[in-house]
Amino acid sequence: MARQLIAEFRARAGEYVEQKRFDLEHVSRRVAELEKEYGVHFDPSSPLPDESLGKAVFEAGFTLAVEAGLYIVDESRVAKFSEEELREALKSARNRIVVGRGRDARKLGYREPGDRVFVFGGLAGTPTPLEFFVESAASYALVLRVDGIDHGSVQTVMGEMVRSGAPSEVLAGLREMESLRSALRMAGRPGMHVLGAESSVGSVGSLGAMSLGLLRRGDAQLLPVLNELKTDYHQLVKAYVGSLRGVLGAALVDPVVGGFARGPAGSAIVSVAEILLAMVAYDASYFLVHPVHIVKKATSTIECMWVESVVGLANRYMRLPLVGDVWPANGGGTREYLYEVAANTLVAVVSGLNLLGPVPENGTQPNGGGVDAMFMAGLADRMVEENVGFNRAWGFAVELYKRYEARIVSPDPGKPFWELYDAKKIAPRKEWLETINETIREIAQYI
Amino acid sequence: MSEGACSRVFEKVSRAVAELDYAGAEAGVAEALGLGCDVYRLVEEGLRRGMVEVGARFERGEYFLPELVEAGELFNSLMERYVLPRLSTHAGGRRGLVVIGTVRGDIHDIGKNLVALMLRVNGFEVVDLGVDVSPERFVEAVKKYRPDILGMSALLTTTMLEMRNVIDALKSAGLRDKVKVIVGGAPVTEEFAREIGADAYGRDAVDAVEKCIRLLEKHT
Repeated sequence: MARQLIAEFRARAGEYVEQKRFDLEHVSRRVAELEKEYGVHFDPSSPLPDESLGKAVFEAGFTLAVEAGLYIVDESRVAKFSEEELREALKSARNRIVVGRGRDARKLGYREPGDRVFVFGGLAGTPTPLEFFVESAASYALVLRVDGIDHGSVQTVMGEMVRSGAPSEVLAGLREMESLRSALRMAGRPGMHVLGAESSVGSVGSLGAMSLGLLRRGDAQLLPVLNELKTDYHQLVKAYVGSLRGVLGAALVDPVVGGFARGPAGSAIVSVAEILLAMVAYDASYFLVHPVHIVKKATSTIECMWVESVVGLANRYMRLPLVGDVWPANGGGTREYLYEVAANTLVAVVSGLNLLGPVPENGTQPNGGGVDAMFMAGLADRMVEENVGFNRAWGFAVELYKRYEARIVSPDPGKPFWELYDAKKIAPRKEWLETINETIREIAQYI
Repeated sequence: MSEGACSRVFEKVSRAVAELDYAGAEAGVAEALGLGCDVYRLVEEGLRRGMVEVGARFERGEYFLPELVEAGELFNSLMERYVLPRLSTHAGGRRGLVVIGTVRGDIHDIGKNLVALMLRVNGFEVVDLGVDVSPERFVEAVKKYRPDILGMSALLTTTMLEMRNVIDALKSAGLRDKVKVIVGGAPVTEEFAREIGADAYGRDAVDAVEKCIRLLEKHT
């Protein structure tokens, strides 16, 4: 039986729990206990994690996944999975998958710190005007080092704003996918892996794109785990239809650091639990790790980088294809943005994660382009080539953090794609390229 | 009643609230009322000061959302059981009325609850419409409660578009100039707030409270 159906039937027969009680007792209270039981602790004055923490976080997350289960919002009931089921699912999970098609196909997998990094480029869900959608997407696809694309969302169709769950949301998903296909053809990479139809937060955009063949075998759709340890039938429906059509599931694990997942230590434990539950309920093929700070939001905060790093260490006991999201607070055109990207990349890569991003201004403005992903990928490759160690990478990340920390709460949005780029030529403007090159030289001396 | 004795009890209440010690806070409130201490001072120097410390601990990363929720429940419970029955005879003290909710299609309530809590702590009366609130329900609530401010929250890039629909619905109902509108949530920006015609944008809960206070100052 399909895993999504098992999740539904388990939930229907599962324990009824008021959502608030699930948040406070099943998640928060238990997470606080697990932090103590397994000795998982975050010290802001000394953020470099001990590499041995990976085992503790994995075991605590595994315990939480078994005990708490996955809350199905539509039923207000919990779908539970046994320890044996989770272990069996882990054993049978693919730790390396082929994504994309034809000569554009690439391998995305579990990686040891010295392995090649799979790089996703794109504005990942950022509202992007249709007028510049194709060109901005092509700017990423033209970067040969970018292996897969996860681009912006469409918010206006036929002059009207999109409405959630309505036909306009389906149309937005279709427009997004048609534009992406045009961009990939323009870049000469028609079979490139697409993580798409993100204009629709429910299921209708994905279902529309799959029914019209715009999202197909080799592509993936986003399957968020709702905060915390929750899902709904929209996600299970998408995942189920995707599994029938050969469309991969990319689970989004985005605990709110400071929320019901508690601080960084608890958020790391919750992340592992959510990865395991997304694997068993969605049948997800790969996992995007995206901790969101409750106040500062960006993945480049010291707390979120610690979570990404520790989850990467815990993955040594899961061996799944994990991707670290790089979502800076600042935007393209600013030096702080590049420092954020660099610090986040250093920590994610050395912890064994693949990369997705950078997505400027926390995904709120289309203020970036493909050259940013080239900067991120170049740094990742350099780290792998130079075999940069865990402590050294973290040490430099902490140094970089000092250069942008103050701008996280009052970020500089930078400039939109059409100002950073000559949109007709799909080429970055000289000024932005010079800033990037200067920053590369500045960073290179440390690696 | 001794002034010094009341101050000491207020301090005890404040500490107990900050430590989320319900029994200690309740005992302190009962003691203060038994001594005949001023109820407003009990709220300000005892309960609210404790909540401010809870907020400070949250800001410093020592407390997280569950502690905020617990503190909010503790505060509300003591207010309802001991303070409100006595405050009703006092005039004034309320800053304004805010109707708040998460927009249609969005079931995220963490940010919205936090803003509601911080507004209450800062003297606002809050009507919380919950999550997945349609423009029609927002309009209905503005008609029913006649709030000073309407607050909207969204965590998703597509659902934040509903904020514009709510503002349009307020205009259609002839209510737009009767209420100030503040918006917030992870994907929302100051620019977006301006573009859809909101009066203010709250970057976080603390900022939202400051903006609400400023909106009322402009209004009066």
